[in-house]
Parts: sequence; structure tokens; C-alpha cells
Amino acid sequence: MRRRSLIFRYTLLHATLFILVLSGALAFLYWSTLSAHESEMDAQIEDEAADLHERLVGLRSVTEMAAVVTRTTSEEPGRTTVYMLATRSRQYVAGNLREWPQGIEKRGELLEFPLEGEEAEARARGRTFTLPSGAQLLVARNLREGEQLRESIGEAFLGALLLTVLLGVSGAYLLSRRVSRHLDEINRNSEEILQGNLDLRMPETGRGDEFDELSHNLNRMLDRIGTLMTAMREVTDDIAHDMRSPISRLRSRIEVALLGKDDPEKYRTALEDTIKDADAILAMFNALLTIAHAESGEPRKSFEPVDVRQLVADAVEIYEPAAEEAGLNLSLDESPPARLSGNPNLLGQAVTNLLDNAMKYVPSGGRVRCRVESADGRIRVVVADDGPGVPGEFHERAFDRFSRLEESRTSPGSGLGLSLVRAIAHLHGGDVRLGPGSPGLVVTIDLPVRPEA
Amino acid sequence: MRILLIEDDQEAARYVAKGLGESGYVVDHAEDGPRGLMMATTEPYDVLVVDRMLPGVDGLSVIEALRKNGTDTPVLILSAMGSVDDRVAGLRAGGDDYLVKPFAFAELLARVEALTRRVHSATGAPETSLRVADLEMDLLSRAVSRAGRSIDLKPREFRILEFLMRHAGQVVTRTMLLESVWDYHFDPQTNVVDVHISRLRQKIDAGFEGPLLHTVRGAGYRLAENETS
Repeated sequence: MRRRSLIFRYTLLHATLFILVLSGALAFLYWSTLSAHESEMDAQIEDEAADLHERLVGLRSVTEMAAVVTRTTSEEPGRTTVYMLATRSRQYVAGNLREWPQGIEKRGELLEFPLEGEEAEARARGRTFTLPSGAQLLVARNLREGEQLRESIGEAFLGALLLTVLLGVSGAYLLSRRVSRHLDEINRNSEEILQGNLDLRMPETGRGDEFDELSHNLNRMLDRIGTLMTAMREVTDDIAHDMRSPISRLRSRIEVALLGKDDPEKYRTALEDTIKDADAILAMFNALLTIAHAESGEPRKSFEPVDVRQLVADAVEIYEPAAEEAGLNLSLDESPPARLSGNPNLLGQAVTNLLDNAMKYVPSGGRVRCRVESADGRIRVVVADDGPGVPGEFHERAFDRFSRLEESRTSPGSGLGLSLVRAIAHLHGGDVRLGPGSPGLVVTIDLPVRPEA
Repeated sequence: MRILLIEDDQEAARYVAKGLGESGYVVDHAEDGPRGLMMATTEPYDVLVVDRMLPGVDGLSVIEALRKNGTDTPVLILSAMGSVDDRVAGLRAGGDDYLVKPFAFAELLARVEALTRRVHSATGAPETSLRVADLEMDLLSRAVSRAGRSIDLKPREFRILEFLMRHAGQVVTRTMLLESVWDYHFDPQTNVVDVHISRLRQKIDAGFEGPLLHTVRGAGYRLAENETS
């Protein structure tokens, strides 16, 4: 499950970054709170010390001074503030500190020293004065209170941090679970589709979120592939089916030739007919390949300017003698120049296919009229005949591969002609349609002058 | 007449070599591009028949190399790729004619024959008139006459006859006519060529001594004084 760990890793990375930033912010807050508190305390002790010093400076006798110190001390039962009045030689006179402290050092503006008689590590911070009489005064603040504050802030911050880590990690886990549940479903279904359950689709919740959109698009893709596969299967089925009859005809022709007594002349005729059959089969394959080539869009790469009117005029000119021979009147109506970008060879093939059809289906004495129209950026090639026509319900189906009118099954032809015409029309961005004539059939190839437009 | 066949498909090579051999050609066979190239540059051949898809060096590269080398032996390209673009690529590489597989042997033979003839006629100044027996064609005034009698031809009939006269005595297939006269590189289902030929035949043969335009069964047509040449 590498994918799940990926999502979890991303969310976790996100949470870690968040926690790092938060820790930084908390540390800054911790430091600034404490230093603010410290300087406030310093200011307070300075005030207090200055105040007491003021009161003592005016006094002459040590007794009076001791009285003031003792009174002040009595207002401070918790020893939050320490006082000591001492003689010149630092012998105790009054206050709540019995001995002049050892190890005084200067820290910032104030002095700091360890407090005797307290629990270990206790320290105080304050000032010393030498009074005019030579007596020594010490006023200091017990730092225990600051330590306590430091500890409780630290604890609070640590707690907040732990909570954040807990929420972040579990959030990352829950979020990744949620995302991977959707992905798991999609992956599971993909796997099952790969295993052959081609009708399965991705779950769509209808919530319209990204996962829903992904599922929807995947489903559309699967549907499209399914349609194409079905079409492809139908085509290959058709090919297999429709190729069987000419090949079995070819086979029975050879078989019949081998019956009876040996006769070189008979063999020759049979072989020549066999070549014709084989040619017809090859022609079908060629038509299928040309259709596939046109459908691939490949020929678009080499489109060139084509004069469609000239193309139709050439085709009519080639077919005219054959049409006359068959008792048909084939003509090209007055048509305007009609140039477009296309493949002249394929377009020529499309037009001759329409003429081939007319030659095949219009009975002797009929008329086949061609016309090229050019208007509104479109070019139309119209081939109209007054033959038996094609029933309306067959107009669409006529373009399917191998589709042939029941009654025309016996006449030669592959049933691929109109499919090829349509593939060529589509290649040029256009289309072809059948319509009723009065009487007869009207076939129209409708092409845009610019295929992209 | 010596022909070099460069073709890797054994079956196809045997079929082509046998057919050409029976038609009176001496056929050498090379199985790949490099060997074919070597043989074509060291031995004198009248026509090269080159398959487009060859192992090693492909057919078009062989032809390009030959042309760069100054060898101008006519080349017929055989290929399974039959789109107009493929043909153009083949002719641009230096091929003289292009035949799409699968093909009828008669088609191959007619084209090889046309290429050998080209070598012998491609000498001297451009022709201004063509002549087959008592049939004459003036290419400048575009006048055609037979036995001194003027014949009136439509422009397309003139081009068909010109092609037939340039290949006088040779078999000309329907496909060759479609390609060269109409520039159609596909075979229409309707047999359009035959009708054009029979109309032309009406004009140049009807009422004259001895037919000139003959039908060659299973192959095409031949313009010649005698039915078999």
C-alpha cells in the first residue's frame, strides 16, 4: 500500500511543518513573557529598595533603622521579598535574612545570589546599599515566584504542543484514510475491470467533488472505449462473415473444376475465374484498408488545394463512355469553381464510388446528373439519378460496412463503397447523405472549405 | 535483358523470378539491401525491381544510395504501402515506377517491359512525332493520321493514344492507363478503361487495313502492327 503511505506522508509532513512553526511561536511567546515578567519584577524591587533606602537614609540610630526594617519585614510573611540590615562588618541587625549571602554576582542592573535556608537552588535578586552610617542594607526578591511562573507557562505550552501533535497526526491519519478510501475503490474497480468485468464502473457519489469528477470522467472514458470496442467487434464480425462467402465461392469453383475428366481448357477457364474472385476479395481488403486509413485521419497531414469541380468533371469524363454503353445519360450541370483543402486521390475515389453505384443500380435509359455547389464556405457534390432509389429507412444504414440492399445481394460489389465515401467525407470534416429524388436517389457529399472550421 | 530483384520475401521472390525468367529475362536475386546495392553497382542491369521493406537497409535508402552513386538504371519499387504519399516518397527517392502489392504478374511484367524500353528510347533530342506502322502522331500540332487520313481525337483520346504509341509493342495495363492518363491511383469498379479503348479503336482501326490496337487477354492492351510481337 505505497499509495496510502504517500497520502499519509503528505499530511504528516504538513502537520510536522505546522508543529514546527507553532513550537517556534510558542518559544518566542515563552521567552518574551518571561523576560517581560522579569523586567517588571526588577522594576518593582528597585522601587521597593529605593523606597526603603529613602526611609532609612534620614534616620540616625541603628535601632530606628532596625525598627523600620522589622516593620517592613513583618508585612512580608512569605519571604517573597528579603530584607537585611547589617552592620558595617555585615553582622545581622534586622530583617528576614539572617546571614549576609555569599557568592553575590552582578546580573544586568541587579545583583543575584543564592538564598540560604531555603530549598536548594533558590535564588534572589536585588540591591545592596551602604547607608550614611556605614550600615549595610540588602533588599532582594525571591526568584521562586518567577521559577513557578516559568514552570507553569512551560507546562501550558508543552501541553498545547502535545495536543497539537496529537491532533495533527490523527488528523493526517483520518484525512489519508478518507482520501485513500476513495482511491481504493477506484483502484479496486480498475483491477476488476482489468480482470474482465468490463461492465463495472467507478462509484459516483453525486457530491460533485474532485473524486466524483474523477469517477465520472473515468466512467465516460470506459463507456467510450466500450462503444468503440463494440463497433470494432461488429466490424471484424462483419468482415469475417462477408469474406467467407467470396472465399467459399472461390473454393467451390476450384473444386468443381477438378471434377470430371481432365481438360486443360476447362482448367484454364477455372483458373482465370479464380483470379477474378481473388481480385474481388483483394479489392474488398483494399477498400477496408482505405476506409481505415481515411478514418485514422492520417491523410490530413498532406492535404493540398483541390478543385472539386475539376475532380467531378474528370470523373464524369472517365465514366461518360461507359455510361453511354450502359444506356445511361451521365452529365455534369453547370457548376461554379469549388476549391478546398483535401486529398484529391481520396475525393476522386469518393466521387467515382458514387458513379459506380449509379452505374450499378440505375437501369438502362436512366439519367445520372452531377452538380457541384459552392456556398457559405461549404462545397456540395450532388449525384442525382432517376433509378429505383433506396427506401427511406435504409438511408442511414446504407453507410454501414457491408450493408447492401437485400435485392442487390446478387449484383457484384462489396457493400463498402458508401462506407468509404462516408469515411472520406468525415476525413474532410464533412458528411454524406442519401435523399429521395423525384424519382430516384440523390446523394450529397457536403464538405467544408476549411476542414477545421 | 538482365534484371536484379532485391526482395527479402522468399516466396514472393521465387514467384517474380520464375515469371520474369519465363518471359525471357535473366534474373539475379539479392535478399537484402546491402547485397542488392553491391550487385547493382558492380553488375550491369537493365532494370532493378526493389522491395520497399527490406531488412537492414530499406529499399528507398538503397535507391537513394544508387542515385547518389550515379547509377541510373531504371527502378521499379514494390510496396505494400499504396497511398499517394507513399508513392510520392518512392518516386522522390529515385524510383521510376511504383507497384503496390499484391499485384498481378501481368502488371509487373508490363511495367518492367516499359522500363527496359525507356532505356533504349531515352536518347537524343525530344521527339516531335510518333509513328507506329502507318499511324502517325504529331506531338506539336497534336494531329493524328493513319494512312494519310486525318483522325479527329478528343483531348483525352489523344493522351491515351500518345501513351500507347510511346509504349508501342508493349503491353499496357488498365492500371497503367488510369495512372498516367487520369492520375487515378485506384481501380474504379466500373470497367471504364475498356470503353475508352473501344472508342479509340473505332477511330484508329475501323476502316483501315489491319488492326493496330490489340487486347491482351488478362493483361491489357498493345499497340502494334502484329498481334504478337
